[in-house]
Amino acid sequence: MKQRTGRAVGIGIVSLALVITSACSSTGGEAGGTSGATGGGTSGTPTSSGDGSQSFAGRSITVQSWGGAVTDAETAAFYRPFEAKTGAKVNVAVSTSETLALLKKQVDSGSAGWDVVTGMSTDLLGTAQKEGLIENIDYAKVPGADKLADGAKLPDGLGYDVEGIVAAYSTKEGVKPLKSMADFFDTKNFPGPRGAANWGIATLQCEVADLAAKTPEKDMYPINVDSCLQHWKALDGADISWYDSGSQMAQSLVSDDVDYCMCYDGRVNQAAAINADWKYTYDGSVGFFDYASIVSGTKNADIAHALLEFMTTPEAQAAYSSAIKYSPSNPAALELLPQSLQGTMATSPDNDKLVYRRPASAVEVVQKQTDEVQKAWDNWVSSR
Amino acid sequence: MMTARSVGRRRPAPPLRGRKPDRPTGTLRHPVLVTLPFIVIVSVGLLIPLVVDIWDSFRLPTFSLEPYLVTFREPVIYQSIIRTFVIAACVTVITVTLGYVLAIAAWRASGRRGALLLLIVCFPLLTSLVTRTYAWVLILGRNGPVNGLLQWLGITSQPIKFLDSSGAVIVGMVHVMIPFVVLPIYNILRKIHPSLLQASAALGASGRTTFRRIILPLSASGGIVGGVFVFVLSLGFYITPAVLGGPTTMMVANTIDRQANFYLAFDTASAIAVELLVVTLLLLGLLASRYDLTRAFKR
Repeated sequence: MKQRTGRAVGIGIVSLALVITSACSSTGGEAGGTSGATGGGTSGTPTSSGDGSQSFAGRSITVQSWGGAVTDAETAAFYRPFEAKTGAKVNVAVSTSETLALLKKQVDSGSAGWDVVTGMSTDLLGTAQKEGLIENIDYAKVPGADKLADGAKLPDGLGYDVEGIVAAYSTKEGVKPLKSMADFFDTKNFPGPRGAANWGIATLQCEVADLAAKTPEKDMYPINVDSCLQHWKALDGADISWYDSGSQMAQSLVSDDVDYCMCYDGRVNQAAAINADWKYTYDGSVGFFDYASIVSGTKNADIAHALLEFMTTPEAQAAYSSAIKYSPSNPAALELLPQSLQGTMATSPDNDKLVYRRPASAVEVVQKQTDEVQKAWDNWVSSR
Repeated sequence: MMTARSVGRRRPAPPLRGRKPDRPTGTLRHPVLVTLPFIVIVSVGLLIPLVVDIWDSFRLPTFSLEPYLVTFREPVIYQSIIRTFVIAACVTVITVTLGYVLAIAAWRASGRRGALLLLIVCFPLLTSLVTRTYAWVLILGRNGPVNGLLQWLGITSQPIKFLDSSGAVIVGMVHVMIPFVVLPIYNILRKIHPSLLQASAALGASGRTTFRRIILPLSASGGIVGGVFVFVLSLGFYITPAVLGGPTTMMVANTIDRQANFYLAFDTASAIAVELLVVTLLLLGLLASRYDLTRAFKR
């Protein structure tokens, strides 16, 4: 009898596992913050209310987000308030470096589950556009885009924040502070372990190196990958920790694993909240927009455009920047930030002079070189 | 411990009226029916993606071997494939050696203590892989306890960089893999009759001789099965090399990830996966032709 009971228990466990598996897979792809703040109108069709905002009650939209602190901030600053305002439900699908690959599989199979993708660089936009994964934005429906900083309004992407690649340093004893990014490449005067990203941003890291080497802008594009890597080779022999993710970057700073870091400003701010030794300078830094784009063939283009418009508003951007410590792309949002935060923003008037941003004329040129530059980078970084 | 002791030699159940005599212990009445869910999951979840993968790897509709040629041309790719097999082999050797020590300790220890040891060995399985891997980042970090100890002892004056190296990756992987060898080895050690050890001692054999001539030959199949588990699982490691290793220690899963996600080169990514599969199957086939891999599971 005992054996029989044992088998019954075994079968029970197996069926339970199956139930759990199927339950989990049915929610798969929409993991994370599916919030239910559905208020607003009751009708199922979009209607215009008095203040010009639309109601999408009863409908939903799926937005891809990069997870972790970024998703939390986006949800709190953009998606929840948008739900409250329009009645649309915003589902958040978390994906990171696999985003474009997943999107390609979705679009190719004709079953795009996402309506909007976020956190796109101009390089990613180029690849997505080439593969037909994103649509051009109808800016007649996103009038707020005209109020954003130069370069935020691209045909296929709306830049809703600015991140900066900055020269970060520890102020702990015995570490000489970096005065600019050029010092990061100077191992003679600034010895000590360093950290840098290795997650597919080779074109940006080439610009950083070119600027540090005082290359005139007219010679920077198209990117000369050989001379870029030549600048990086100044760091041959240096002890460099390469990061695969932003959380790894922040963790490395928190635990004092490096003295210097070519880091994202928001990640340094996050780390500094725990380990106050960390500071950074915008001198020689490169800033870039995070773009939101509309997925090809979405059936919710109207909600998507309304969400993009919402993401341009100063109030939403200020809430986002307060949470994630990346800079708003709408200058009006700066004034809504706490005084202490304003000085740390890449788009503040003082810092804006120091932060280099890829000129609009170079965007397309670099998009054509992304893969080639990245491959050369991969070969160098894996053999140093 | 009750289960572990009693499974092997359970007394036959008392015959009940109208009931057929029990089948041999450990067999099932409807083996196919019971395993059907798994057969379905494996066919749907493994075979279909595999076919798609092989299909993708030839860059159809225009058939081409180009994706495979790329993998032999790009140093980043073929180096990571070779590195993967080297690291997996190192992890296997270390894990099996350590696993033997732990399994023998658990086997020789008295019941409760042995069970406790096994429990400790299996404990890592209860925490997430990512958490365990990040724990190693802190342990091996510049300001971690290992560097702290070395400097306190005066062995080193500067912190040593352990992370971003294949050594760190191997340490992290061994930690994860230990249970996969300890359990099969322990399982087979339990079947060695104590009288054999007594006989060996009575004939004057030293502990080492007993291990070499009695324990090892009788338990080798457990070690081999454990080693095969570890080797095959090691080939697919992603998180550990990503977190503990650096660009110079990328393993094949990280390379596949980069091909698919950075370059959207699904054909190259698939070709690497197929190559990995073929080499793995060849190695397993070679092993299976020399050893009976099912022995450790037989009663």
